[in-house]
Amino acid sequence: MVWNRKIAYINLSTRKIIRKPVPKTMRQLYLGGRGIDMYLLYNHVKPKIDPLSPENVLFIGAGLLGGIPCLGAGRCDVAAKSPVTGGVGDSNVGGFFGAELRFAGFDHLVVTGKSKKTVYIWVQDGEIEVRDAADLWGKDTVETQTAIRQNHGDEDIKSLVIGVAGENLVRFANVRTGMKNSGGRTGMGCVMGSKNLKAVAARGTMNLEFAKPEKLLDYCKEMNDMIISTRWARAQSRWGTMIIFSNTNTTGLIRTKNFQLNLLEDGQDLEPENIDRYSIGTAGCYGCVVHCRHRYVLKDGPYAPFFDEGPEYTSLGAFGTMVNVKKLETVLAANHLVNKYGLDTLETGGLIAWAMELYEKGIINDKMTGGLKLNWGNEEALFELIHQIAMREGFGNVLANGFRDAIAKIGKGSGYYAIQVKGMSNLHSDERPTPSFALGIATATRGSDHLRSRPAVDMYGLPEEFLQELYGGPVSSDYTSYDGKSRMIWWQERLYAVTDSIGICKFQTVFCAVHAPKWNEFSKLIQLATGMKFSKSQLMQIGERIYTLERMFNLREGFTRKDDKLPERYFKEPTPLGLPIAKGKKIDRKKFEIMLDEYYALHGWSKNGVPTKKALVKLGLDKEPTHMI
Amino acid sequence: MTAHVKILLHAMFKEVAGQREILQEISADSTLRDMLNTLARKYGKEFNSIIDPKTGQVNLDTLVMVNGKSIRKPDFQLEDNDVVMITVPVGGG
Repeated sequence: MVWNRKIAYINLSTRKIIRKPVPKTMRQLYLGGRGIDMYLLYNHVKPKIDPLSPENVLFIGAGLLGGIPCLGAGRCDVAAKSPVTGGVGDSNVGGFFGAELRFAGFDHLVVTGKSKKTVYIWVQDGEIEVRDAADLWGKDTVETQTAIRQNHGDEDIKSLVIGVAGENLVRFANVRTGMKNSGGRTGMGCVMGSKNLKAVAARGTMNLEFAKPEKLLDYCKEMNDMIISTRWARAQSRWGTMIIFSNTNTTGLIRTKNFQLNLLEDGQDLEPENIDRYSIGTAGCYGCVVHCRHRYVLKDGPYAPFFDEGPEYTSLGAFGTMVNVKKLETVLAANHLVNKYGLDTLETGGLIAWAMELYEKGIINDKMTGGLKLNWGNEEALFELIHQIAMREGFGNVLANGFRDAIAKIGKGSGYYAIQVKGMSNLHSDERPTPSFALGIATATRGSDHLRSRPAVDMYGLPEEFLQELYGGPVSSDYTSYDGKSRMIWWQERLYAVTDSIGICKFQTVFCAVHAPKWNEFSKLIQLATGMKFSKSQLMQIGERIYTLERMFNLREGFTRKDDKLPERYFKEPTPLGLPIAKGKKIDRKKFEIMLDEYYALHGWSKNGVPTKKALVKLGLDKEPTHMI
Repeated sequence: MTAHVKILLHAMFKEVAGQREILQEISADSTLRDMLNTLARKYGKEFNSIIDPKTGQVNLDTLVMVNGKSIRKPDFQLEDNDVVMITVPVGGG
């Protein structure tokens, strides 16, 4: 059956490879992808290890529904102890790699130890080899993939690779596949680099044996037809996530000049339709009908000519609003640079925006920056600093270890200006007018993070009776309210944990639209694909189990309630711009703490954010680590 | 007596109308429905389906925000200098 793909343990120190089936019990408790990765993380990574030591373990997991032809079901989860936060490291990447790994016979790879020489892992139709990567080392993320295809003489190979930033152990180096897809957050590329692992390449021709293949195909078509008939899917397929910029920049919900403003005035060039100047079409991930990313060509300007894909909304902020760049071409060029180097766009942009504010305030100067004029909007300095970070040169090397290290090195109160939680930078959204979003970034298990729980639904002003039915309790329909928002976050956390574990795209669940597929649709898809039955409440409990285990990992590493916090500026500095509903807003500290108490209580955690014995027993987590696989 | 509202169009609404911003004159007692009907008459297409005929409210795959707040009921009373944004609900990053 399709759920019985293998798990392989690959020791890079000894080159020993062990293959085992994934027990059905694991599926029933954690599904696959992120869920099983989090079980493995808690069980295989010893407490308090150095994330860059051979003791760290890298986990690569395909989703339980990987390979079905709908909802972007080719996603792959990559996990390890994070070199950015010291807690849960986990990143979910789209593209085609996750599905290809399944076609090659494996759902999970557990990579231990450290290779003496640079290597890549080659997975093909049930076999695994560790191969020399001397000719790949030093290549960028696209060149690496091309070289692997050429070396094997097979254009259909899919690879998960690191760039030069990962080789240089930049803490927030990412893993990439295809032209654009990135497992961006928490520094999984750095962990690969620390193991001298350049890539994992897969090619498979093995059948996925679905339980009810014909009915599954029919239902996948139904899902695809439903998705593409919606206005939001049509908008995303036309403009990608850039479309969000129009909404947030109009209202005043987008960080600008690091955290000084909340919209970019005269930012018309970053409006989504301007991508038409450079776009040559759109592309999608495996099993997706939306195709939300542009393929673009720049013929002039810095680093031109080049071809790339995107940009996501994240890059419009990271290399646009946050650094006060108002030219789309500059954003596209910066996006291209970080893609080639294999850097997390959010962490890179967040650190550079912070450095620009420090430069403006005189906390750092030309002497410290090596002569780089870090003035707002200085595109030459932006490109140079991206390069320096990736190469660990000059002032870039000060930033290359992430916020915590850079704050310690720079000192002089610089930490106040850093927009980060648990050591990880935030998306460029400004959460001061939206308490639900603020709670989400404060509590996310992998650091400041919109993808663990973002309730975009909160912005839609839906009737409260509707929200009550969706979320299972009272929730205010006013996005500036604190009422019921803890419940909203709790629900979204569980949904996204399951979404990441079955390997589908968040955009095609309750992220954009309330009527997008969720529990019941997931349940039906799983049954048709695997024959396993899960009720809505069982899936919700699996989401809770995964999230609680992540919490337990962080607690074991020393995190406490005090780490579920917001940058002080959220409480002290009101938003200066925007429509009246967004202007003059800051987070109310007292209400925030009440919201946090409510959030812990919903999870069954103590006031200190520690899961109670009762909650652990209910989830079957009271005896972890159990070392089942 | 008349009033003016600023209408900001995003995504397909902007594409169909061919402009991002419209300064619209409305009568003093105009509702959101009146304004949407005017736009539908002028531009058709996407503007015809902003209100869901089944529920009589703004379609769930559309976002109509007045002064930054989502409005679902078309009988919402517009006021002078209101900023009305018509867009699609999208999330992500």
